[in-house]
Amino acid sequence: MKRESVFLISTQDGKRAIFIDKINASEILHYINQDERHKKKFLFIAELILRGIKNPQVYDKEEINGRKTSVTAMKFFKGQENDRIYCREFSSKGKRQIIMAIILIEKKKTQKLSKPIKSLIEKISKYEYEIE
Amino acid sequence: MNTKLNKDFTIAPGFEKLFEFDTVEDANMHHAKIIMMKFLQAMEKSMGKHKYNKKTIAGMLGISPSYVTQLYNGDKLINLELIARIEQVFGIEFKVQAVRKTGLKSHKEKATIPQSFSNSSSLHCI
Repeated sequence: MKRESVFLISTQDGKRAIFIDKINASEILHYINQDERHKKKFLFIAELILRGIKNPQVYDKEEINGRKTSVTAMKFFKGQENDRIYCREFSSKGKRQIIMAIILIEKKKTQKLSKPIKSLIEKISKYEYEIE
Repeated sequence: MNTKLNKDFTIAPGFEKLFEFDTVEDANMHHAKIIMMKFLQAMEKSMGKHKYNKKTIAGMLGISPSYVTQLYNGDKLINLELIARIEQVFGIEFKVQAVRKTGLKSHKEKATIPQSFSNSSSLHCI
């Protein structure tokens, strides 16, 4: 069954947009809004994504065994809290690029992906979405 | 607080607050980080196929790898001296072009700069 999503923001021409998984929306939004520091970091990452500015330090594809996956991560405070919002990138008609923020994982402990995180990435890489 | 939305983005109704800053200073700092990232992206593009890691870039520029990381994290802002060094070291020139996106604000209007997601002016690194 397709999962539902909530639209957050897009470029004026609509070619890049950020959505959020409806089931996890409240948890993700609560995380972002918890204080100014988290909100500012999110706005930094979001604007880079929307403007197509690559910065693997804060947003990048996740790799499993050296293989890039369809799952990306918004990286909050790398080297400190090491929180992640795992996302998927979709392309739709007219080459519209959609970034779906799916799930929040706080305090990623190891540099490499742990087994549970790998399983999570495999799982969300199969998610399908209803996108308006 | 001015809640005027930025022309570059469409924000979903109900999420306007999420994409607003509390102060003009915060909005300007955010915008400065985006401008910095445009410079860093232009620098990386100039390398072509020769992708250097951050440690190598730091060595070439005579700065510490952790400083490079702080720049990419948006924790520190680049200064013009370092931009000049990037031009020298990588043999490039940042071409700056100002593109008007809104009408010029009067002196009075400057007191109420929009504090939304991004400022309205734009600086392009070609």
